[in-house]
Parts: sequence; C-alpha cells; structure tokens
Amino acid sequence: MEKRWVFHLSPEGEILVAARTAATDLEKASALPAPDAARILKRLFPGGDRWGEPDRRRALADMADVAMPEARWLSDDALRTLALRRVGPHQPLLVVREETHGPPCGAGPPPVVHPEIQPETPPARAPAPTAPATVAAPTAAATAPKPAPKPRPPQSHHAGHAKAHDSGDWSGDSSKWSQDKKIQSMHPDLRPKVQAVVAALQKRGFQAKIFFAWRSVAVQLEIFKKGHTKVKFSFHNAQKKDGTPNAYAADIIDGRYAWSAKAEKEGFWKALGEEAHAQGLYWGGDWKTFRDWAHVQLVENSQLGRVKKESGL
Amino acid sequence: MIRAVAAAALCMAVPAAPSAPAAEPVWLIVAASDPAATAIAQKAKSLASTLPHALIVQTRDCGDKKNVFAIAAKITDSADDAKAALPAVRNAVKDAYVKKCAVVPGSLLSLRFPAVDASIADVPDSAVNWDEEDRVSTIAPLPHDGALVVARYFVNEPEDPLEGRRVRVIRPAAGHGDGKTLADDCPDAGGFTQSQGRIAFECGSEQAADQTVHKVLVFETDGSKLADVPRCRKPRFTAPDALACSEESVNASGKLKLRPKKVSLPRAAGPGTP
Repeated sequence: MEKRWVFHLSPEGEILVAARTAATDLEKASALPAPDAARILKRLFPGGDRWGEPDRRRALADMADVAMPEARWLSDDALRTLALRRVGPHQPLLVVREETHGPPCGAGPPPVVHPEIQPETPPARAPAPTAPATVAAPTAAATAPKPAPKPRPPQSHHAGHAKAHDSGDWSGDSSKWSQDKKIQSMHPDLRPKVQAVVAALQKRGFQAKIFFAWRSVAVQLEIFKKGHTKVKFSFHNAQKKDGTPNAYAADIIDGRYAWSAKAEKEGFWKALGEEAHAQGLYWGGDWKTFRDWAHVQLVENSQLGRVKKESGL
Repeated sequence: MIRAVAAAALCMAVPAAPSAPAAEPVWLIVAASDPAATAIAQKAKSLASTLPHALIVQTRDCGDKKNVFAIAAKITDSADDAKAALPAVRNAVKDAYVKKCAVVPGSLLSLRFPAVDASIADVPDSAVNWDEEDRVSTIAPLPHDGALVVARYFVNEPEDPLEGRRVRVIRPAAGHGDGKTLADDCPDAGGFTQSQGRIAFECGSEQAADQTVHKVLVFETDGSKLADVPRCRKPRFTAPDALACSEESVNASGKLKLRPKKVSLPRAAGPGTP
C-alpha cells in the first residue's frame, strides 16, 4: 500500500506531519488547492542546511518517492520538485487546513484533532464551531494564505443530503436543485444565454432543461476519483473568490431523452448545438475527441487555466 | 514549527518486487536522469539533435524499487560495448555514465518503447488537468499472453477539451520499438481482453452527466479492426466470434445503467476454418 503524507496546517500556522497509508475522507475534502499546498510545503523543503541531515533528506526522498540509492544522484532541488508534484487531494502529499467542515454523510461531527497526529506539545485548539479558522502566515509573505473565506455551509457529496431551497445554500447535489437555482449558480454572463437556449429549444417542442450548471471542486474530485470524468477542474467548477458558484458551463438535456440514442435521433443535440452557437456559446458536441453533447460553455477551452485562477484555485 | 510525528512510519517495510526469472542483462549509457516525466522529456528534447536514438527509460524497468526516468543514449548487450560507446556520448553529455540493468520481462524497456513520449516535453506549464500519470506510458498485459503498450502523449491543440491529452494503444511487434497502432486516441483505455489472438478493449468516448461513456474496439490477430461498438464497456469474448459487453445508458437523473449486449464477430480465420 502506498504511503501517504498528510500535513495539517493548524489555525496557529503550525504544520504537523503524519506518515501513514491512507487519508481520511474528511482530510481529502479539506485539502488545500494544490498551488496553495505547494507554497506551504515549500516552507518544509527550503533546502540548505535544514534538510542536510541524513534523516531529513531520507524523509524528503521518501516523500518524493525516490529510494535512497537513486536519491543520492539527485539534488535537493530535484527531490523537492518531485515531492511537490505529489501534492493534491488524491496524491500522496496532502495539505489539510484545519477548519470547520461538515461531516460526510453518516459520519459524526468533525474531529477536533486528528487521531493520527500526536503532537509533542499541546494539540492545536479546536476551531470555532462555525467560522473557519484563519490560517496564520508565520513566515514569508510568499506562503501567506488568502484571507479567510466567508463562512459557508459544508458541502455534501451526497445526493439529497442537503436540500437547496434558497440560493444562499450551495450544498447538496446540484443536479437536483431547482432550475432557478441552477441559473443562479452560473456566471452572470452565462445566465441569459442559457435561458435563451432553453427557451428556444422549448419553442421548438423539446422538453429542454438544465441538468446542472455548477458543482463544487470537492464533488468534481470525487467523480474524478471514481473514474467518471477525465478532468479534475472544469468550467462547471468555477467559483467566486469566496467559494460561491460562478459556473462557466451548463449541461442541457431533453428530459424525455436524456443521453439516450433518442436525443440524437429526435434531433435534440443538433438543435442544442444550433441554439448554443446562436448565443455565442461553445458546445461540447463540436468536440471531436471527447464529445459532451449536453454541455455548453461561455468561453473557449483554452481559457480553463484563467478561469481556475480567477476562481482562486 | 515542524514536528515529524510518525517518523517510525518512514521505516515501513516495502515488499520487494518479485525477481524476474528471465531478466535481460543490458548496459544503459545514461545521458541524464530526472524523477519527473516532463523534465526528462524536456532534457531529451534538448539532446535530440546530438542523441537522436536516445530512449527515455524508467529505472523501475530495471527492477529498481523506486523509479527515476533516464535518457538512455545507447543500450548495449555487454559492458565492453558500453565502455566503448561511452566516450562518444560524453562528447554530448559530459557526465554520462553506464548503468547495468536487468530488464524486467514484459516492461516497456524490454520492448524498447519509451516510458515518456517525446511530445510530453511540450505540455504547457499552464495545463490544468494533466497529472504525472498522464505523462507516463504503461504496459497492459493481456490475459493469456503478450501485452499492449498504452502510450500517453500530447497534441498541441489549444481548444482541445482534454488539453491535448491523448492515449495510443499499440500492439508491439517482435522487433524492438515496433508495433501496430490499434487506437490513436483512446482515453480511459482499459478492459483489455483477448481470445485466440483477437483483442478487445474499451476507450472513453463521451461525457454524459457525471459518467464517461465508452466504446469497445475489437481487433483481428493481424491488428485490423473488427468492430467498434459504441456505448459499451467491459468487453469479454464468449467465443472467438462472439463478444459480450455492458451497454451503457445515462438517464435524466444522470444515473448510469448497464445491460448485457452481445456482439457477433466474423468467424476467425485459422487452421481448420474454411
């Protein structure tokens, strides 16, 4: 079984290290976005004397997944580079911000201190019950975390776990939200275009509806992990800096046909493509390599990196 | 403050890889090494003009427990040949060295296929959805004998929904580094199976709600395509001329439903077959 390293960033800015074989679901859900995590881990791998001791270097090689005989051929920089490549919610190096998270379905309340961590000094204080703890920036500005986001409700990965009746609650399975709520979860420029597409399709006699627009990065990662999608971040995951939805994409289906062969036979996909183009949207049915018939998006695929950055991820 | 709490876990025992009974002894003249696929591809690209026949290998294919990528400028069958070839490589790369390698049978190196495709050097730094595993080629063993090469590569198409990530499935030939491409674009390649030389596998073809929809490809012993079955996964031969797979459909709730599907194939040509 592959070894995992979990770094807990406590509210006091301490980094606690644990090596074990698996991360908990809560830790995975609490994982920092890779760029933030990488910045924090750079504090752990600064190079120079600090990592010159054999034990420390062995640990770094271990995190980098390089055996010691091979590691001797590699510079600290190379080891650090490899280690930092292994940062992410489903990677062996996981940086977890200790803040309040909703428990997974069926689980109890979130643990205050993870049982795997046995600090030498008194453990990190329990975070406040609702407001997420601000991550302290103990050293360089480069490692300073972003300002604490506004408190928001925990996000469930499970359908029907939390019903979303008002647009202030973005939890639950977003495909089960009302059409109005799905529209509210879109980027303001996307909303009128998608509404126009749906209206035009309905006028043509189709039972067009938005299947979903936004979903959280956490849900996306769950789906990715199950092998159901090829991407870890998509235009559906775009969010405002405070974490509220700002989807650049929506999936539109005819409720009678969904993704069955009938959707093509009855001309729904073709009509969707036409109406999407008429609104200046990009349509997933045009993609030759990996089609996504129901998918429309506001900007070109080449903008994904910019949108991810804009989302604060 | 950093506290390494579970230092003991560092010493977790890692089971040794089973020794390969028929490992091929070779000597690699290593021009460069790096733990990261992109970095080794970029180094190989920079050396391409001086070392045109170099092969990117992974030390795992030499039985090493931990993996590092290396540019093998030359692969020789004897230490003497390696020693003789080293000076020429050192003209291009001063600190090139010789590494003895017991090639793991059935590995990419044994087939002389690169562990990292040259195109990986061009994956933009700004790519969002590329992981290390998208950059490294692998071997897919077939149930009875042989294996397929699953080569991962990059195409520079900025508007590509998968950011230029591509997967090629190759049936290696007897000769080193040769083979027939069965599928040039097979994301999510899997479900490899075979019967009497015929091969079938699945490729991702579409996204539907939260599901990847697949197609099943079936190939004759000579590598010619026999069938392309849309919306199906998990192929299995029920007879040499019959295939079963699970037909996929996604309903309006986004739920995937699978139901058995049978596919008839042309009768296999062979001894005793008219």
